[in-house]
Amino acid sequence: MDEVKRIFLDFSPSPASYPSTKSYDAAAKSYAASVTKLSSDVQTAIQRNPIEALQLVDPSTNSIGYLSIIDTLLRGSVPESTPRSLLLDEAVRFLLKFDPIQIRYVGSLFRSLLEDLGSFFSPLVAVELLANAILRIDPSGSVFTSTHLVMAKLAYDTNCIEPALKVLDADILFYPRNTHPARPENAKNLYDTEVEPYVYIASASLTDAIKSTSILEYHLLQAMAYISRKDWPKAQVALERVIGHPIKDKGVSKIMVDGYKKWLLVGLLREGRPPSFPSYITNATKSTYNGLSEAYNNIATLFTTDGASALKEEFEKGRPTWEEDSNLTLLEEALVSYQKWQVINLRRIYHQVSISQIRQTTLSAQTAETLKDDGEVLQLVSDMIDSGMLKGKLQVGLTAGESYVTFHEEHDLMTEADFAREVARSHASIETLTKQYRVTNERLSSTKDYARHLVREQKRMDKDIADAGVGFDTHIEDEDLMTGVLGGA
Amino acid sequence: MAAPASTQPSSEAQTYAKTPDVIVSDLPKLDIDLYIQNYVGRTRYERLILIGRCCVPLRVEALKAAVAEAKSGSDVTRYKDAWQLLRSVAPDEPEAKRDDEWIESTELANRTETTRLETELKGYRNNLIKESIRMGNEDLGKHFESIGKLTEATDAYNKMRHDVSTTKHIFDCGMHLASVAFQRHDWATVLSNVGKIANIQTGDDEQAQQAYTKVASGVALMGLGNYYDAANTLLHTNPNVSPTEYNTVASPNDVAIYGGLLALATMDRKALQARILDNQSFRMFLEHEPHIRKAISLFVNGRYSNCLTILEGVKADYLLDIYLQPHIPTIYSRIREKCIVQYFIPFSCVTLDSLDAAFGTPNQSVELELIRMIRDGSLRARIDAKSKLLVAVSPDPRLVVQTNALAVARKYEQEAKERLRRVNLIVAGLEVSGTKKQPGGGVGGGVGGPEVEEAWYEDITQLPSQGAERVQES
Repeated sequence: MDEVKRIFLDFSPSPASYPSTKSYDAAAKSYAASVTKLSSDVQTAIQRNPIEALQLVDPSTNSIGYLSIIDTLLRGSVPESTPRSLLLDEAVRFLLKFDPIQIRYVGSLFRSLLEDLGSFFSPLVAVELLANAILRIDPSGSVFTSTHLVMAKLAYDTNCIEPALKVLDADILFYPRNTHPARPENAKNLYDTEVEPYVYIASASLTDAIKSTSILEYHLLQAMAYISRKDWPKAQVALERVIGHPIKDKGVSKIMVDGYKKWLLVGLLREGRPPSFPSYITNATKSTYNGLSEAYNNIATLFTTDGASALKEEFEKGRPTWEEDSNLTLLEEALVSYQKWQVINLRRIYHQVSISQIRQTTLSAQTAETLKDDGEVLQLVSDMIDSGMLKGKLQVGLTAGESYVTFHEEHDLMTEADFAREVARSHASIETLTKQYRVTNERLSSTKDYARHLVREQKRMDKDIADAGVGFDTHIEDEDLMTGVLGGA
Repeated sequence: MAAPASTQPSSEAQTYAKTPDVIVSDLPKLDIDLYIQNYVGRTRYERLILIGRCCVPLRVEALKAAVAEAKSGSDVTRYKDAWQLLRSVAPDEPEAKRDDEWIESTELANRTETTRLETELKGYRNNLIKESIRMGNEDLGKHFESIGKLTEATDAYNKMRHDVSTTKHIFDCGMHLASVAFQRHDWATVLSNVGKIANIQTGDDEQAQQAYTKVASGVALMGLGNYYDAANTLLHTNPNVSPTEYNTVASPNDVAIYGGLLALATMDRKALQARILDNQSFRMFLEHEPHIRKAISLFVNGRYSNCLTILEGVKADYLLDIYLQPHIPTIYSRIREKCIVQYFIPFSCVTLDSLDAAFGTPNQSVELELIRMIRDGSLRARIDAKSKLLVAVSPDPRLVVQTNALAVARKYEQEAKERLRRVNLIVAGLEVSGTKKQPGGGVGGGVGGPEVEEAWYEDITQLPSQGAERVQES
């Protein structure tokens, strides 16, 4: 146990006790190296005296040491006298309080702990802890890491979406470049508090290698999570990230096609009509999508028409397809919403309309008929108003003919102050984006590839100038113009 | 399009089997003799037959005239058609007796004439005299047209084109072709042929020719359903040209009716006032048809229900017009819609009852019509079913501005984020690569090749610069 103490207390966690940040950096690095490569004797010593070991260092000030201890304890066998719940409580305490800078020195160990959280805790706790840890490492949540995918999978599979929302809601803007696997001992600037998250996350190996499929999968899971919460706008945004993923060589992956199918249905649910493609999707990709999902396109086209029976027929015809793509529930949801959208569209025609008129003019796509009695219509409309889908007011009279719906404007008028606040928010967020663009631009200007491109451009320019000197271009003009034409043909 | 020609025996059978789409049982105001003397050429027979088929009160008279008309020409098929129709309507009339002698002699004469003209043409061809060949073709075309062989007539007229030498010839050729196309109701061909001769400068009778091209293309545009252009074209017809220039197609009365109705259906009140009522030249046409002028001025003065009543009163006559008939329902409903829209403009809300009083028919409310109009966007209003009101949509400009501004800001923000994300994705080399996904994966071998690398550079270098530009714009 003395050996343990010697190893773990050989570091003063406060940066103030070092003459310079550089020496702190060096000390932290060597400390991290020693605590992550414990000999088996030391490990056994820790496992024999768990309580004592845990009290050696403080989780919030010396996160490097604490991580190593808790990791050794969780993965090893501890004496019966120490209840496992105690260890888990300590782990929770650590995960909520860890120092986000120190953790960079033990990135890969921390990551593997995060990845295994699902097996230590109940899903709800694990998802909450993961989401917390991700946001502690990178408060903006704008850098994609392999942990994101772990969390999304766990959250969706175990249906614990609530605690994951704070991470899912954050816009992902950056992706760590994993061209050279990082080694913490070589990493620079780990201590720098100013450095951008995408720099340290990659160099501290707080993320595993990322493939395009992991990103697609993450966004698809994100969309599925929103779909299960019936949050159509967010689901649509997430799916747009899937279908609009940059493509090389005109290929479209299967995840993207799946995403497209869901995107179409979610669009129907959200807007009542087929969604329009984001501007950055090329025509070739669009036609690939259209070609691969004809059944879905038919549904989308019929959705905006009066043809409830045709819609129903198409739905029945495509049942095997929906089941195969596991979109059946989403489609059923869409069919249910068909009548709702018809009611909403009555807003364009009526200012006030009676319940019996609604019953006569709208069809249900489930039966391809009008609803059987006015009570059902009343129920439908009041549900829609309650859920906020329909803006309006219901005046219930003695009979259905005397019950009316008054449609309100789609958007409420804001006060000037609210409006100004909203505009200011947009402005601020665009300002931030501008800054990020600038940063990205600088970062890109210094990449190897850009430099190579510049050199190549330079060479080409030189060549052009050389050509001009010889007068090759002017030479051509003097000759028979037909030669050029024939050569080109 | 109508059956291409009445020459084929099969279409003959169809002629009586088919009941006409429109049956007019009200007594129209027109007098057949006066009406038909406005026209010359083959359109007379067509017009008479149409009246004979569709108009119950006038059909015997019209068909008798049609039989006489057919007999004065040499088109045997037409005679047979008219006779069949007359026989089914009035078997006791003397004209209902089939004149087999005439048929035989005419057929024989037609055959002889065809052979004669063809032989003559052959002779001209051998002599290689261009002008004679052209005239030979023209004669043959005219002959074929007169005996109802429209396809052959088109061929012959088309052959004229090879030997034209003056602009007058070009004009004749185009006019003949247009005339045949009119009989086949092939509007696109009429337009293309008229278009070819519209800008020919011939000097003396330029004005006369222009009148013909205007009327012909106006009617053809109407046939195609292009009402606004048709009205515009007809409005430019020169009234000082003698109607004989274009009476193979339409009479000045027709020009007034077509032009006036189409303008009423497509133009707003200001344009109607300026381009019809204040238009000196078109006024001269309108003098032939005071109803139309009355209807237009009532519309301009805001007395919509009176306007509609007048139009309703002359509807029977218009339905008996050969070119107007298929379009009357559309034109009338457009005018009606316009009346409703115009009627509603000065109000912020109107009771449905008063709309019914103004536009409704005794047993049908205008509500369904209103719903249709709101749905396709021609009427900007909402129905208040509770208080039985039609309420004008008056969007709050502040709300519109707010909604738009926020939508733009949100969209910009989202797109900027998305572009940044894509830049970073591409920098990190995380695009989906098509070649990798292909089964077999044989194509993936070329990854290290120079082309792939080229594309890679392009991708990276273009996107960031775009992004930067966007930001600077802001």
